[in-house]
Amino acid sequence: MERKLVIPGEEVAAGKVKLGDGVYREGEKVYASVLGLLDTSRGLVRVIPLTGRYFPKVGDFVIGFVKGTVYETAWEVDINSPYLAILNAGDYYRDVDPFRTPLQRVMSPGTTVYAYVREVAPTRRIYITMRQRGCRVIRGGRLIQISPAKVPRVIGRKRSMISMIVKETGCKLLVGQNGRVWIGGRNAKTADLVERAIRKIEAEAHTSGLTDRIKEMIVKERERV
Amino acid sequence: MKHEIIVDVKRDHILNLLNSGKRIDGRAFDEYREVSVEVGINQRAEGSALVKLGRTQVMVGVKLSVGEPFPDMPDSGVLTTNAELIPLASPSFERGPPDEDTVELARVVDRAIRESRCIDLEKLCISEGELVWIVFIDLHPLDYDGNLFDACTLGAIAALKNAVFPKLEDGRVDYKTKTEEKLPIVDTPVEVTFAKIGGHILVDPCLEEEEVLDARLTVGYNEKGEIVAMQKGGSGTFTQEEILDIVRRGREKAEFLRKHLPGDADGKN
Amino acid sequence: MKAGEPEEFIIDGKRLDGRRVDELRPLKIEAGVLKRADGSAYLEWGGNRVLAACYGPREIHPRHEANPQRAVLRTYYSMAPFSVYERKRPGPDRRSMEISKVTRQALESVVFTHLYPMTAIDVYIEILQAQAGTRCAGITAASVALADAGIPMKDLVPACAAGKVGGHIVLDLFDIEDNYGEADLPVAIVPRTGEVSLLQMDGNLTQEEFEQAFKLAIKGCMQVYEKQKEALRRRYGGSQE
Repeated sequence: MERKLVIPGEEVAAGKVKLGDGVYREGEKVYASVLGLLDTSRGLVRVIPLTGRYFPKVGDFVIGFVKGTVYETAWEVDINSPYLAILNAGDYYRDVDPFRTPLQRVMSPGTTVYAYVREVAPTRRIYITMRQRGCRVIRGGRLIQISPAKVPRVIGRKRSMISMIVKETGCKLLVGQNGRVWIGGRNAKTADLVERAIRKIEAEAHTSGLTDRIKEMIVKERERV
Repeated sequence: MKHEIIVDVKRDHILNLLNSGKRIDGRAFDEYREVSVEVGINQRAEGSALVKLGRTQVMVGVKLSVGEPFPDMPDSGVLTTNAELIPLASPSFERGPPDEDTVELARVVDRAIRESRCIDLEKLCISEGELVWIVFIDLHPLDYDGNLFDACTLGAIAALKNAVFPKLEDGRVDYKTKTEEKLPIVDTPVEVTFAKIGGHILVDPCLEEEEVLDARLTVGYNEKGEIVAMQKGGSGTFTQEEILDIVRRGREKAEFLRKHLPGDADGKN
Repeated sequence: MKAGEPEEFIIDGKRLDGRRVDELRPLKIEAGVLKRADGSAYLEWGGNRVLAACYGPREIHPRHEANPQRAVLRTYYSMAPFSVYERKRPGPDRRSMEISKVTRQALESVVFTHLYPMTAIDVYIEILQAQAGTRCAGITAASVALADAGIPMKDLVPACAAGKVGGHIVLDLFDIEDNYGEADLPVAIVPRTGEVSLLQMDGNLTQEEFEQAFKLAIKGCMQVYEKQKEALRRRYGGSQE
């Protein structure tokens, strides 16, 4: 489907339409508020952003970096968003008693976690938890950063892209909605291949038939690996 | 400069790669990123250069003015090197007066320029004890992706070689009229920076490498390959053998960098 | 007459740099030129060379500047030491502080700051080479950098000056006209509504001259707007699947 590139201020609809993200109404007309692709396919008018930072939503999985502790009972975690996230001791994946074990000893600054956004408070305080399926401390492997706007393509519809990459390469893959991607695997060459595949998805995110092309690439290059 | 937390996974990944002989961006240990030097890119400066080292971009401007010489060097021009780490160039650069990183950068670049005597400062004397040319080198990083020392020194010497005198009338500078006369540049010092990460020595650290390095060593060389400036940085240490090895190997890298300077024919404004 | 002042500013209908009275200097904008910034733009406008970078929305420091209702837009205009004929001392001065302020206010009305309370959106404008009209060039580049950073906004904000030289109303003054002219009138607008978000003036204009110059500046803004949109389309590719 052809999607039009729109620029902030550009008129995208008029009259009675439902508004999604990336648009605003003034009088009878609807205009784009962000740079992106116009989408009217879901019964509403929205602009899919092509650039921009990550804003946490409840239900997102993110990859975070522990920055330090606050009040000795929680960690402060950088989740690549405008807001630092709070991970309370009680949200660590197993029981810890911060009054017996200093939290810095459990997770020191620079530790990487795969966590779940459990609350976005009206004050914009973000609470994350590791008490969700799949959440854990990440060690080893490699991290790459992609544009958060491109994450949906790396995940794919119903996780189709991730599943395909994992199946074809045997690598482990964690994709944070915040644009951080972790690749774990036994050998570096396969991880290199996965990294290249993800870079390709990022570069060609706007094109169709992407899953098939990426699969083709992996199968072809896998033989050389 | 704000210092970001070092992420264990990123550091371990860089280390693992180095242990298997690889760098995060695929380069060999002794390989520079792509180098480009453009000169004469600024019409207000008497000399200018834009240096790209991978995605690091630095603009350097040379401005000339006139003033009194220092009392102890009455027949010598004056050289001033200044750096600004503007917050436009990196999320880790902050506004405000120059911090120690900024001052160190300016001084280390200045050292190579000054100690190589690449500017014939005596030729900058207009009237002994009264009036001399003052050379300002302004180092202006635009996009910080690691290794500002080498990029700024290369930019400084490129901009100096590109510089021409403005017209001087009755002791005043007419900046709008440039002469054909070039600044007297007699050597082309360059600096070469090595980083030490987990016992591995590599040239031209990119930002990700800079963030995790244990120590770095910058060595300035003149055209003859003599050493004119050095600066060790980082909280880690080098062995004596490592230092000797770096100083030997750096010379060849200096030659490589120097080849990117525009020849005198293209160095014109 | 001041030293160096030209005797005439318009000869045979042409200005000293060869333009018609209502003609802009050549303008080139490129979006997304920096790696580290969230959004950026580089602009060449006549002899002006300007770089703008946007960082944010991001955590605000110092924290007491945070606003619980909206993001704080901070704009900083600064001139490189080698951007002018006589070397400029680094650091902010009164002129750059004022320009930073009016730049912020020119952009504030279009940015949807309420979406990102407690954050900062920082815009840095660096004048690398100046040839008059740098505040307009800065605002023009800044709004492209904001869009490139994905900041939600009502519209882009183009800016352009008109003025009076040698008795003529002209568009987009270059340095000689700016130095010796009678008036300078920089204007920024929100093109979709035509609202004016920056207006300054220095010099001397009659009521009629002001009206003429004001309308001319707005026409200039609309031409600048087209260049801004082109730059963003080039960066992100025309229409896509």
